[in-house]
Amino acid sequence: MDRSLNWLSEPIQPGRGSEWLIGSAGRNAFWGEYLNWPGSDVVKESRTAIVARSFLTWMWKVQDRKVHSAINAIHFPISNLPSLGRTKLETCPESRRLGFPILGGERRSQAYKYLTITHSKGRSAKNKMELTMLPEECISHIISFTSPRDACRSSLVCPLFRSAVDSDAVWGNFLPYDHGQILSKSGLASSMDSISKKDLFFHLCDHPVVIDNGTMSFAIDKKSGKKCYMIGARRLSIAWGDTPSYWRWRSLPAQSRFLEVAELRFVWWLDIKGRIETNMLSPKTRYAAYFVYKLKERSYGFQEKPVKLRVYFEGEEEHQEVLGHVNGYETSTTSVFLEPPQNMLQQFKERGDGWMEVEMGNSSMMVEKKTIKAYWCSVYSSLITLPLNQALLLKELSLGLKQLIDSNLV
Amino acid sequence: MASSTSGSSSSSKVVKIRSSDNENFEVEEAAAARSETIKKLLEDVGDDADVIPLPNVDAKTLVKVMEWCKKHMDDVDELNKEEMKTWDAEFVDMDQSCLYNVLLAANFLNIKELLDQLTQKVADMIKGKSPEEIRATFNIKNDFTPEEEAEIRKQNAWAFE
Repeated sequence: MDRSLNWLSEPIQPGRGSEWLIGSAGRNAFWGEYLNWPGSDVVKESRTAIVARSFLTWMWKVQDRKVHSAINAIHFPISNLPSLGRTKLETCPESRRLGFPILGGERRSQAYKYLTITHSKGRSAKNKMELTMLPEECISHIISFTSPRDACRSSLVCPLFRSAVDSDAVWGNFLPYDHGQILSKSGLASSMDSISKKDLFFHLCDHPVVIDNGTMSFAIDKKSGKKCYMIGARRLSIAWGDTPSYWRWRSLPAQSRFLEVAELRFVWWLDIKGRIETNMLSPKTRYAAYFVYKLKERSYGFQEKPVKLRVYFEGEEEHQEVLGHVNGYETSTTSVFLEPPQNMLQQFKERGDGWMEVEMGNSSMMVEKKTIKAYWCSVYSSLITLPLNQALLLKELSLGLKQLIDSNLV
Repeated sequence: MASSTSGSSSSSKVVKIRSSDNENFEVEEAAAARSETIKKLLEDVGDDADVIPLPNVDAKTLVKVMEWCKKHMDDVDELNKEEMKTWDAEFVDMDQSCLYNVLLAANFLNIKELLDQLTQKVADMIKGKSPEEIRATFNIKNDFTPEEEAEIRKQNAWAFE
């Protein structure tokens, strides 16, 4: 804790009571975070001092003297204040900024806030508006601008928030705007209007809905509300897929959500492609594609030969190489042993539903207005698309499409 | 901060509006009409309109709202987009009490773009925070009993992982 703060000990603007400017917090480029001050800080009064906490880095400049300090808390001694009256902490009014420029010295030169301590004689803070004084519909509107995860956390804040979180206005906004149209193609269409948007949202997170005659499934990602699809084997283009000596089509209702799955019997050349129109996906969202499969007990061949997995946009140069000769696409192509040889790290993940999944390609794809098409020249695959939620959290990718292909390479 | 009369074009029409604390303002019609509520009132009363009373908005808040409306009166071309973004970011950077007052006014006056900007601002203050942090940020008292709190936490367990 650094107490060596330079207080402006002279009250400013004595006309309005006594006021001390104790610093600025604003957009701090180094932290990349906006400090809502005093909102995001705990401010309390003790018997001897006003304590303001959670300051990160402060920088300001008084005339040409620059002060730079990193502190966890500041103590403003109460002895500095007149003994009678009421003290309030507030951000400095707009007008004061102009007369007293405080400089951060960083990239963003605007948007600074000053904290002032105002001492007025016995007058309480007048017309002080609080968030909880807003009508519930406004709170719902605000929460609908956050995320499903933030909304659920917010329900723990207070009863007003909890009630606001449950409204259709919130979850209707989190649901993909065209969910009604998508679900009209499913068995869920009839019951859709009778349940709340919140219930519908969570139902769609946990229970992918089969659409388009059992060839695709649709779900939403719980944390982001983005659309996820899984493309069934029937909708993939599988080389030699209709030749019974190579591929067999089976119905496995207990194991697969799709009407039919493709079982590989024997093949010389494995080539499976999936394609999905980007306008079906959530806009401005990062997607990753997963291949979902299952190996039969006596499968053969996948230990010896890795498969190549690749994702690319339609129209980008296609490779027609023979298996194992994909060049120049290291960034978007991965090579994976679907059945890892001994002493080798397994690259797939068990999904918990009896299927394995492996991410296709190294890079996620930002959905724009092109068509995304998944492609792999290799042993087999199904396409799963998942929203990557823009960033960091790869572990958030959990849902998607699954496709069932049993392999039995004799 | 008194009446904000039009500075730029002298030919534009001016309307009068009155705040809840009986302060009168003269505003360019194009700016005032950013509010769907005012626009509709103007259509209803036609040219006979004397002063449009806004019983839900005090003068201090109305000044802020009209400041925004004036800035957003004209269509923004590509060149000014960045500048406008900066201006908007600065505009919504106000203390919480003021923020909620303006938000409430934007809601009542039906100025969707402004309402969305302010709503986004508050939403950003909620994002990524724990319930305790949200309470601290907005000075909210926790009215739940420990049992209720445990129950809600259980129902939403996934959000706290």
